[in-house]
Amino acid sequence: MGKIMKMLELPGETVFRETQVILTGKRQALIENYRSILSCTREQIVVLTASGRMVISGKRLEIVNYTKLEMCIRGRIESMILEEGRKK
Amino acid sequence: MIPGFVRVSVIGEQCERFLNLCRGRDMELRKIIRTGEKEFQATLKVKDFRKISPLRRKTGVHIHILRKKGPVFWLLAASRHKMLLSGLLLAVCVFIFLSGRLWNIHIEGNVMNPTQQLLQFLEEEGITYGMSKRKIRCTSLAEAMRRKFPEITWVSAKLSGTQLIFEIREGTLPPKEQKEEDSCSLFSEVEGTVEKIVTRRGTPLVKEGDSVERGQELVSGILNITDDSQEVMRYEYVHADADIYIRHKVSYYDTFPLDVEKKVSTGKAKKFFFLQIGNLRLDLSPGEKKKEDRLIQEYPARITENFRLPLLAGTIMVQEYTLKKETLTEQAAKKQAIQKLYIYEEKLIQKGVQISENNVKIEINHQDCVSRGTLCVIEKTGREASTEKKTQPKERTPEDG
Repeated sequence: MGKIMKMLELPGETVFRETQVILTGKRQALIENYRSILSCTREQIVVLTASGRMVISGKRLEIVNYTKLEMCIRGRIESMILEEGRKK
Repeated sequence: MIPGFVRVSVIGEQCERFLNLCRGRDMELRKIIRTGEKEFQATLKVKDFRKISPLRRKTGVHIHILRKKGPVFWLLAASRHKMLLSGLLLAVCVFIFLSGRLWNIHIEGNVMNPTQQLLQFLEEEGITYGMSKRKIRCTSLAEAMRRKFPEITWVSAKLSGTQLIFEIREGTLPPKEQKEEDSCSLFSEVEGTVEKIVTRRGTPLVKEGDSVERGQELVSGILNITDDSQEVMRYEYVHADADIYIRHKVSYYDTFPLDVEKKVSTGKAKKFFFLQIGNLRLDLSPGEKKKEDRLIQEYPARITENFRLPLLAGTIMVQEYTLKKETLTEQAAKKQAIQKLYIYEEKLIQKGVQISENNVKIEINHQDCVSRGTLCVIEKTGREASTEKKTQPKERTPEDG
């Protein structure tokens, strides 16, 4: 499937609903194509995506905007880890 | 839908599930902050807040409203104060109504035509305070003003807010066209010596240094048209125009007694207030008495520069005095006589008369101070009077030689 996608030059975020993260420095992260929030604290936010869990760590984290299409996290982002998970 | 937002606190074990369920129902959440182990704070729209009840029951969380923001809550609060709201609405309506009316007329640039005269003219044209601005036609007003006042060479009328502004430029009146029937000569009004004569139209009959009498013709309105042999061919009649200055003497006599009664203030002064509405006056001052001076100051009520109300307030200062007889000293009497002479000379100067010599003597006897003498003045003269028409000379033919 990946090869077909490459051959036809299809964008992954629309075809496979791959998660897209747009980082603005260390202060803002815009996440698209995600499933839900698993946990949310001031130091860590865990987001469930199609390909696994995404763990965002930092300080004074807050979710500025949370809609069906996108979510925006602000604060002091220190690390972002993508964990491999079971695909549903 | 009138916008509005609600800041809520979500307390419970399944807060994240609650958030995800809200998201699943296309609700938009903002500023989600974890404030405790089992507590979140988030901002929701009012329309979304109304849909969270089933989600709350599902997740078992408790919702507390922390803050309400937006116009929808202002209207709800205002609905409890209906009179205030209606009063504000009425004030806005009155304000809008008043702003469409004329409340001030400002005129600038006028010197020859007094402002009150121009305002009266505008009143006759139907321009009054409080009238609708839509009825005012600036162009036609400016034209009418120029027709009515020929001294005005240029006028601009414009509406600025609730003010009607006139800018005026004045000039000299255009000279009247002289017709042949208006031909005239200039005659002297005084007896004296010609100081200077500048003739622009007509035939001068006198020159500088000539003595003239009252009523003497100075410039004739008849032009003698002569031929090569200096014989008069015909007469032409013009409106004589010249500047003629005549030097003559003016007698001066003035007398006043040395014994005078002077007003001396007793130091007692009282201030009273009064109010006048239209022609009705409420005056707290006592009736007029002898040996009292009254100084009245009026303060008219006005809304704008020229818009006065028929309401007047003022003060009356009543000062008592006594009459004291005293005799003027020689020095004081002379000073007074000189002042009187000076005032008389000022009046002459204002009329355009030049004073070249002052031969007035001041004499003081035991009762009066007498000023007598003559002033040598140079005065412009030239009374217009119709010219006597002459019979035109016969036309010469070659047979006459």
